[in-house]
Amino acid sequence: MVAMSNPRGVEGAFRLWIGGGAALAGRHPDFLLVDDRGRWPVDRGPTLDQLVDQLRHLNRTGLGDPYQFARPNERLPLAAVRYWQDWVAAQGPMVDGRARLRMEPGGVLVADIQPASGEPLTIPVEPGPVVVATGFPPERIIGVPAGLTVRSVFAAAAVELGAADLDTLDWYDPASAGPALRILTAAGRPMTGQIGAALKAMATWQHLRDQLPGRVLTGDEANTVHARPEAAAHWVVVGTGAAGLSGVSKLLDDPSGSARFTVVGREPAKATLDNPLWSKLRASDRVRMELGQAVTGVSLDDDGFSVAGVRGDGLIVSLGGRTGPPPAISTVVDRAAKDGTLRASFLFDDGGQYLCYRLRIGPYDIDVTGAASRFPPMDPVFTGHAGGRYGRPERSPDRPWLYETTDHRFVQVIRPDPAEWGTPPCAATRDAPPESGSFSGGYAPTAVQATRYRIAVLDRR
Amino acid sequence: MTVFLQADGDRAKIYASLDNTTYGPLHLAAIHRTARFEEPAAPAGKLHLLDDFFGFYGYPSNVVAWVDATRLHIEELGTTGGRSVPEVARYLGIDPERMAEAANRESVVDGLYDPEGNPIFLDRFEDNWAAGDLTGLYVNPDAYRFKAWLSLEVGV
Repeated sequence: MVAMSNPRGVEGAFRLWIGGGAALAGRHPDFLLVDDRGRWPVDRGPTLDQLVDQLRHLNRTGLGDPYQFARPNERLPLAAVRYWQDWVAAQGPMVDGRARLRMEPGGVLVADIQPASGEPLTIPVEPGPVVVATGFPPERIIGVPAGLTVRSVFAAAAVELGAADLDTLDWYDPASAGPALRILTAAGRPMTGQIGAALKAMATWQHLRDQLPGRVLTGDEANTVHARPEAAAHWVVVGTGAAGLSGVSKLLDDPSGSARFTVVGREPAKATLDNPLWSKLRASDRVRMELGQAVTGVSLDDDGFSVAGVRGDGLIVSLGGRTGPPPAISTVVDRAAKDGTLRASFLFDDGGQYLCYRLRIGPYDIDVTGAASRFPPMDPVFTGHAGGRYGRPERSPDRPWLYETTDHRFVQVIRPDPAEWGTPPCAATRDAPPESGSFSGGYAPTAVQATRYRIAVLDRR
Repeated sequence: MTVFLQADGDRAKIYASLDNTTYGPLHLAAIHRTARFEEPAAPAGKLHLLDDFFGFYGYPSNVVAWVDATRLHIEELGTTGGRSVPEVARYLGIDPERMAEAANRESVVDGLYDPEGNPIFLDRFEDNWAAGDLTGLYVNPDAYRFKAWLSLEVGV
């Protein structure tokens, strides 16, 4: 559906908001919303994981009152979530579809929109904040060694090639691996070692996705109604990531399903062992565990594929490590990073709430909020540091009601300093209180974050 | 820069040497380049570099060569590489389950989770001896903390 009755653009350009979900709590009616109703609206489960009491903070976001739909100790029906989100989305102009930002010559930012129905369209974007709330970015790709990101693989390959041949490719997009391998081969520089293996792993992943549609899924995809458990007789589940295990649990619940699942990867950490999901999977006679061995990639042969010696006809990969920017903005971020025109910072309000990470490219402020904001991309956007930071960031020089920093440790500690006492504070642990039963990228914390983002950033411009 | 030393006669006695002062003996958690040391020590007997662990204690030449041949890659991007847990367990004669359990402890950041609820892993080698993600575990047998773990928790 396309409904743009009230775009309120300046000189034909649009204020743009990409993505929905819980971040719609901060939805501003002057912004054109582009969202394809992914994740929770299409989740296979009947409820959110949290109890209504755990979601009580939603009351103060304006998104909706969970107590209207279930008792305090019951889980919130997803039908309520769909109702809230659709109702809020329709408060302003919207497109049911997907958008991807692109920079045109002359530094004009445009959005290429693919509606769910109808022809693709391209619209110019108004300078100022562009809101991006597209949820969790993609997980790590199987076969790419730990410690490497998609972008670092292309950057290393470009250094090796010693030329700008790879410059036109999007270094955040795994689909660039195929063209990169062809360019390297044509240049007589076929890559070996870990970078070569990582490029081949990305190309293999794309190949499998193309060749076996519906049978090669990410952990996120396995949670949705688009995943069909009967598409494969034997699913190989790679990794013990939260998204993948949750997806398998939902596929097991499908009444028409008889498929078997084999989980391969490392032994889960204690938090996973304590999760009821884990107990459920272990108890199922349709689930087998082959843990404790390193998974180095997917092996292709004439009969299909295998992972760590386990053969299957369906693949679900959930390896965590969500390291890149959302795909909707990856091309412009990559280009600006290569051109040296990208400035990045984290914004907090005066109550210490983490609001978004802001990517400033020319006159445009791309504000990534919600679950995506909890996985800020590191080099070259932000620089990783060990240890924690205490206190609060500095006031923003031109918006003194905001606090602004380039230091990711205020948002997420990724490598504690052993000399520190205890776990350092950061938004990732502060914004989702323990009684919420959620994490900082979860539904209620995202709704709270987006509400306060709107108040501090959009309403006070 | 901190240098770690080990008593010739007792592999369980490991010391830190910093600015001409010796501290210790240390427990495993304190054997870290950025750790703070408070109790100066005057160790009795001779000391050797912890880095020389395998050669000093007479491990077979093939094991020493295998440790020396361990490669960590792509230093400019962060180090990856290393050896698999089963391989390390086999070379050093350690029970694979014990090896995996210790490597888990070394590579998981205790008490921290990513915004999705997954544990946070040390996914590249720096001062830690095991690195990993949800695909598995890799070990650097040439790491000083690994040698300390062998000395303090595995023993002879």
